[in-house]
Amino acid sequence: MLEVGVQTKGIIEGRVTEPGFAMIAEAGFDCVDFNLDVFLQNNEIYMGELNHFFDKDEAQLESFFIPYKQAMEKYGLRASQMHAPYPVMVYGRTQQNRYMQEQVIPKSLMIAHMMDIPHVVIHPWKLQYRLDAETEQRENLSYFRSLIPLAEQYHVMICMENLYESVGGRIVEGVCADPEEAVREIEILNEYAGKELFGFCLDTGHMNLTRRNAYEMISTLGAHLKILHLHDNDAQGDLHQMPYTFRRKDFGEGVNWNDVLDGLGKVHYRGVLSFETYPCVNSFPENLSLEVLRVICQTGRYFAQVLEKEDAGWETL
Amino acid sequence: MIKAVSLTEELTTESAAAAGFEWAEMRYMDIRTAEDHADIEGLRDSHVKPLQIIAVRIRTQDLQELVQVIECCRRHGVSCLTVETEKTAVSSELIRIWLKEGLAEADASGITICIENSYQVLEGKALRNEFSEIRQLKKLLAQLRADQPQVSFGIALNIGHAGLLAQNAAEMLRQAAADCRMVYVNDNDGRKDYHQMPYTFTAGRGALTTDWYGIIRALHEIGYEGPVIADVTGLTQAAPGQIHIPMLRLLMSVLTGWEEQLSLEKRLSQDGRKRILFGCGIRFENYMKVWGQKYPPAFIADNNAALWNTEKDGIKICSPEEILHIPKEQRFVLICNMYYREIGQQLQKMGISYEIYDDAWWGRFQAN
Repeated sequence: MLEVGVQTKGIIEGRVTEPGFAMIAEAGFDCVDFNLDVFLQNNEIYMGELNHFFDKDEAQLESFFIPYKQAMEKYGLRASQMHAPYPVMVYGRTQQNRYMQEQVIPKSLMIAHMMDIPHVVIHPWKLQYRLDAETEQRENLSYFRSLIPLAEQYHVMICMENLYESVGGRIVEGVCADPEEAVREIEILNEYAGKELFGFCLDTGHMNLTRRNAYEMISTLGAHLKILHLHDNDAQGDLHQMPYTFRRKDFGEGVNWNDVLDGLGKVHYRGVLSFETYPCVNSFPENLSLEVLRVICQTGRYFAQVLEKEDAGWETL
Repeated sequence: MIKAVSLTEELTTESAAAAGFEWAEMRYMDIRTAEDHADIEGLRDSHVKPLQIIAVRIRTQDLQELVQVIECCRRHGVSCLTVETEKTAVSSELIRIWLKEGLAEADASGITICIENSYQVLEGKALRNEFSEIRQLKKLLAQLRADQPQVSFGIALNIGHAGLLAQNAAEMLRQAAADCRMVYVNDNDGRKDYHQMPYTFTAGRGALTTDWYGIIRALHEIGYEGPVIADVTGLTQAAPGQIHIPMLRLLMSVLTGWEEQLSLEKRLSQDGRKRILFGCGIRFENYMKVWGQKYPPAFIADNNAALWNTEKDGIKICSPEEILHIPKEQRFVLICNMYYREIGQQLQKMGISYEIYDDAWWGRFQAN
């Protein structure tokens, strides 16, 4: 049976909260996407006001995260993927970028290893609107290549994610939004490494925002697709909401989940069906969090059922 | 509050019942189609059971056969009839004429006929029509009541339709007040009539774009106790049948949460009960501003020993053990603290039953 996971953000925030893991387990999830990014948040990084969490040395970080690992074990959960703090690079912030690249990301990979997390999402650099797409690709290849020794040392697979950007408030495609380009970069990086150290994390919400056909995108990613950020939106904002809530029978701007499932079936996806849906936990009244998580988990179980039937030769939806 | 769900071709009554619903709304045409396939007694057994129909929804043109519609309502023990005006080409004047003609022949006693707020679509855009504003609907109701004083008329307020027209739904409820006899709840993005699950349309990362807290507060203010129908046909159409039950369970929990808020005052006003608030922070302050004058607490319980035997807003602060000195049947404990889960566990261990006060529902009263 395919496993189903959910991100820890919005449920476990910045402190060990056993009730949070207990709630995730009670909702029926097998796995979590461990949001390391909550310890150094993207708004702090964009504003250049970094906290000092990652100034801790490796031993201090390890002892900080051991209780998290123990709490997950206690509730029968495993962290199947991690989201590293992002962005790794903000154009023009040389000193901050060096800190992100030399301290935060290596320590993130170390923490992933310590917590037995096999996949880590590291956002590729966004440069195409500042400079150009060719420079963006070149810089990303150079940066991700530099991570090969760390990926080997910590036995983690680094996953790039399809991103969007905002130009004058309008959402536009960003780095890795084009699956062909993403595949090309991953293949070059794996060739540098001489082994498979790089993969792809498909974010279904970002895919919808950049108006990509899910079936074609997933088919193009093929076996490079290792992990997922499953969530839905109205094709206007990155809402990270639960599937099926932005459509009606005959119209709608939400993700076409039949296409997603057909695509995952075609590439025989066997990774975790992981949801990145923390705003649901925020938007519903607080006392309904468990119920919200149950719906998300049941949706994942349904996806798993469809994919397993497809794999057994059942015709697509 | 009667909690109901709109039935669609895609949503089975079994799923709705399994999610905890007892009441449903059905379209007149769907009932007639079902009746074509079964005798009337069989309809309840095979198509609606175990649900009961609370309301029947008709299109404006169905008013031309109002006698049959009313008979249909009677056959199924339905007391609410909603006239759907969405995208209709029929004018309010024609509705008035059809109702006048139909009601001259039909006996509508015991049935409330509601006119729904709606919109029209021009060049793909939702725009207001003559059924969008409460004052327009009230004017129509006044005419209908003058024509047929023996018939009960009301407004069916559709929250999703208000959202499409960027209307202040809470204010619409206040304006409709006692004329509001039916409330339809569903959500959308302000552009298309998705009829989706409440709370799923947000801006950014979870900020609600529909004023649900304000809407529930307005329902409380007008003392609304009628049907609240989850008209989430978009959700039940878009989501596969296999996940209808968990989704509807969540929906039922949403409605139950609203019901709890709407009935809070009844519980606060129970005779012979001493109100004890646990916690003296922001939620306590909110309680005092909203309810304090009408329903003052007997005392505050707090875990902070440094505060014991002091006062806040003239209310004495005591240790939690003090609660045990009040006989069980005489106490109403309300946790006014964001750590309500932990405090709840503490009270449970002490054998004390409690409720949780969530100031999110009453937040605007914090403004002086």
